[in-house]
Formats: sequence, structure tokens, C-alpha cells
Amino acid sequence: MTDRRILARGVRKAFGGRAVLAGVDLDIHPGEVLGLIGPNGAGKTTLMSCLLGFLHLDGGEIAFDGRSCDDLGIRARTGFVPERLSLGRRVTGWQFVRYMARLAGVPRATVDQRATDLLERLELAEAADRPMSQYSRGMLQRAAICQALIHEPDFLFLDEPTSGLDPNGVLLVRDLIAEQKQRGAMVLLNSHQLSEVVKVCDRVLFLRGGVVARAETLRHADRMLMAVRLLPGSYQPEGVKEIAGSAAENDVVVIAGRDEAEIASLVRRLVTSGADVVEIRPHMTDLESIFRGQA
Amino acid sequence: MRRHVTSAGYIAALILIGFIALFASGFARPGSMWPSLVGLMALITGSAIIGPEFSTGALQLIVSKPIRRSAYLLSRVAGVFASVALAAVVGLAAEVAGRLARGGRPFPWSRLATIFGGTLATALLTIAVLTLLGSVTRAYWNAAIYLGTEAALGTTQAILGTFRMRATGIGAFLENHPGIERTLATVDEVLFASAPEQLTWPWLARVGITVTVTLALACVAFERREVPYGTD
Repeated sequence: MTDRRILARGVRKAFGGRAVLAGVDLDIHPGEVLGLIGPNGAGKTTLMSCLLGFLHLDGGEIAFDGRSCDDLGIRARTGFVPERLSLGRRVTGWQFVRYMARLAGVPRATVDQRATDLLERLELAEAADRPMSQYSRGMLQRAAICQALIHEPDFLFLDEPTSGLDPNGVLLVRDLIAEQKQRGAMVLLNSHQLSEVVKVCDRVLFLRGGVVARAETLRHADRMLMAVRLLPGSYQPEGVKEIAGSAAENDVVVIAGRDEAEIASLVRRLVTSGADVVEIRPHMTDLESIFRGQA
Repeated sequence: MRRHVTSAGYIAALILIGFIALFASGFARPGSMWPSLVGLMALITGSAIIGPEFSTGALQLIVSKPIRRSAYLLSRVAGVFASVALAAVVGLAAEVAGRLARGGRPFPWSRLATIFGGTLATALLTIAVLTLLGSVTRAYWNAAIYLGTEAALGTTQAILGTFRMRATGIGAFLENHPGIERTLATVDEVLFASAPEQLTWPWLARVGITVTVTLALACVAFERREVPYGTD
């Protein structure tokens, strides 16, 4: 049985003697969205380039379902949205998407229908016959997303996919990522938009100085995390820790349960212990503070 | 190919070649001027086979697709050669039309066919060498390297020839080591071949072998080449 995941172990890459990646490990499983964050120069794009086979590794290994990223069969299952798309000035959006689809191996019989459907989905249908030189930044980004998704890739690499998009476009991209996740694609998202990363990623790697400085799980497939804010002075810290399994920080305690019933039961126990509950909301890791702390 | 035929610059170049060939058809010597313009077109279009894709980001998209890099490279070479060949056809057709319209002298069919074949062969060689350079350099540097190398080879041979006239020092050394000048002349003739008066099978075979070897090396270099993306 093949090992279905994107795997990177000890990835090293240097340019002119300067180590940009100094031993990065990474795993992405089917149906998982992994976020890559970090300050400028952290090595995020270099890591993505290594994963896509644009750069040769100085050390370490990368495997997609146990095979090399240079394997044409793997590339046929890979989609890539670059940060900026600036090609084919004379070609129309339709021609571009169709050409890319053919390169990606979409059968001739279905390519037109797929291109039409996706251009419509990305709200580019009306502009499909216009030369791409007339496209705005956001429209180019939508075209880039179109070409990346047209062959329903199993491995999807998104480099700042929402850059240049209007709020509707951002929501659309969020939906599209959720759909890819739903159908079992492995998604790597490189973005500086922390709010977006929190909304779509299951896990986040914080890259700094070419190494993974911190890994955070934002969403668990098998349990829910809720942040419960308690009225200051109304609770016994030890008692809360015993019930929640973790101590309250700044009067907020994070509780975890398999389902809503288990969450409700934990909240009931907190209230019974004398704690006054002020607010309950889904727990989101505060990437901004992590970023500030790590950068 | 489509990129060229939809380009206003390319269409203008075709029209220019056509007009010049029509004008030159009045000359006694067949194949005046237009073969040089076709060669210039091979130099310009050949220098852009790979370079621009690096800077626009198109190459990163292409290499992320399930297509062999060498197949992509050779398809680009085929497209560029087809564009240059079309220019040669336009030049030839215009000259033939001009000469037929003027009538009179015996028609130089055989000479024109030789010029056309030689022009195509040297254009293909130029494109192949530029492809090799483009597979290891960036953007339009390869045109400068190509022209620089050609000029350097010619100049060096001329300088060495001048030195050889003297019997002392470097002249004596060159006299005793004729292989140096012979090697330079061979490299010049192999990489920057000019079409001979009469096309011969050995000449065509040599150009064919050079094109094949050069393109094979270009494919190997391009397969192994890193494709930088982004700046982070």
C-alpha cells in the first residue's frame, strides 16, 4: 500500500553558501491543509520550490505518495498557483486555461467543458475571450487558480492565492480550498494573510531561518476545541485545570471534546465547580501573537 | 509558432523580407539580402526560446505540469524554426515572383533552391546553438554570447594569422603548433557555419550532426537546470 502523503525530511538548500533551508521536515496528509508562515526570507518560497521540483535539494528527501516530485505521474496530480501570473499577454483567459489543462493531461474530450465550468466558477466567464494583458491583478489570480484546479490535483500548492483578490474573491478561494480538502487533496498554503491561514488551515508551520521554529495544530479532525472565558475571581484555578485538562490563561481556558455533547458536559462541570462562564467560542490559535513572538 | 504569427513585429518582418526579396530579384545574383534577414530573424527569435519564460514566471507553471522539459524545449525549437522557415519561404517566393515577372534571363532554379536549403540549415544551426546557450543562461544574454563568441573566434583567427607571418616568438610557436589555428577554424565552421555555394552531403551531414548534438546537450542542461521562483 502506498504511503499517501507529501513527505519532506531534512530538506536543506543553500544559495551561494548561505543556508536558506537547514533541515525542514513536513508532512501533509490527504484532506489536510497545511499553512506555511514566517517572516520574509524565512525560506517559505524556497521550500515550496523544492517541493515542486524547481530547485534541487542539497540534502534531505521529498516524496509524494512515496514517489519523487519529478515523476511525471506525480506532476499530473499536482496543481500550483504562483504568487504572480504574468504570461501570455496576447492569449485570452480561455486559451490560457485550456492550454494549461492540456499540458496537465486533461483529456481533449472534456477539456472545453471543464474550462468553461471552472471559468464560470471563478467568475471569469465574461472575460474569458479577452486577452490576458487586459486582466487586472485579481483576474490574473483567478486565472492562475483556474489552471491549478482544472485537473483536480491531489497535491495543491498555493502561493499567496488571495493576493490581489477582492473580498468576494477571497471568500471564493476559501470555499475552493475547503472543497479541495473535502475531496482529499493535500494542500500547502503559503501566505502572509494570517487571518486567512487561520480560517482554512488545519496545521501551520512557522518557518524562521530555514527551520521549522514552531508547528501549531489549528483544527483537529477528531475533536473540537472551544475557548471558554471565565469571570475573573469566580473560579478555582486548580479545579478548572482538573476539568479542562489545561490551566486558564488570562481567564480563558481551552476545552476539547469529541462532539458538542462532550463540550456541553465540560461547560456544565465548570459551572458546577463555581466558575462563571462569560463567553464560549471556537478556539483559534492566535497566529499574530505567535508571529510576533517568533519573528 | 502561434506566438510569432500573431505578433505584429513578426508580420512586419515578413512583409519587409518579402519586399526586399522582390527588390533584390532585379539583381543578377540570386538570393541577395533576404537570406541574411532570415539569419537575423533566426538570431532574434532563437535568443528568446527560453529566456523570457524565466522572468515572466511562465516556465515555473510549465515545469509543474506533467511534461518533460526536453519535450517542451524541442517543441519551442520546432515553433521558432517553423517561424523562421516561413520567413525564408516568403523571401524565396517573393524573389521567384519578381524574377518570373521580369522574365528574360534563364531562371536560376537550382541556385535558388541551394540558397533556400542553405538558409534553412544555417538558421536551424543558429537556433540550436542559441537554444544551448539559452538552456544555461538567462534572457537575451545568449544573443550577446553568441555574437561575442562568433566575433571573438573571427578576430582571434585574424590576429593569430598576423602573428604567424612573423618567424619569431608567437609566430614560430603557431607555425610549430598548427593545431591551434585549425581547432579555432573548425569550431568557427562547425558552430557558425555559412552556407556554401553548392550544398554538399558532407556539409549538410555536419550541420545535422552539430544541430543534433547541440540540441541534445541543451535538453540535458535544461532537464537539470534549476528554475528559481520567487525571492523568499
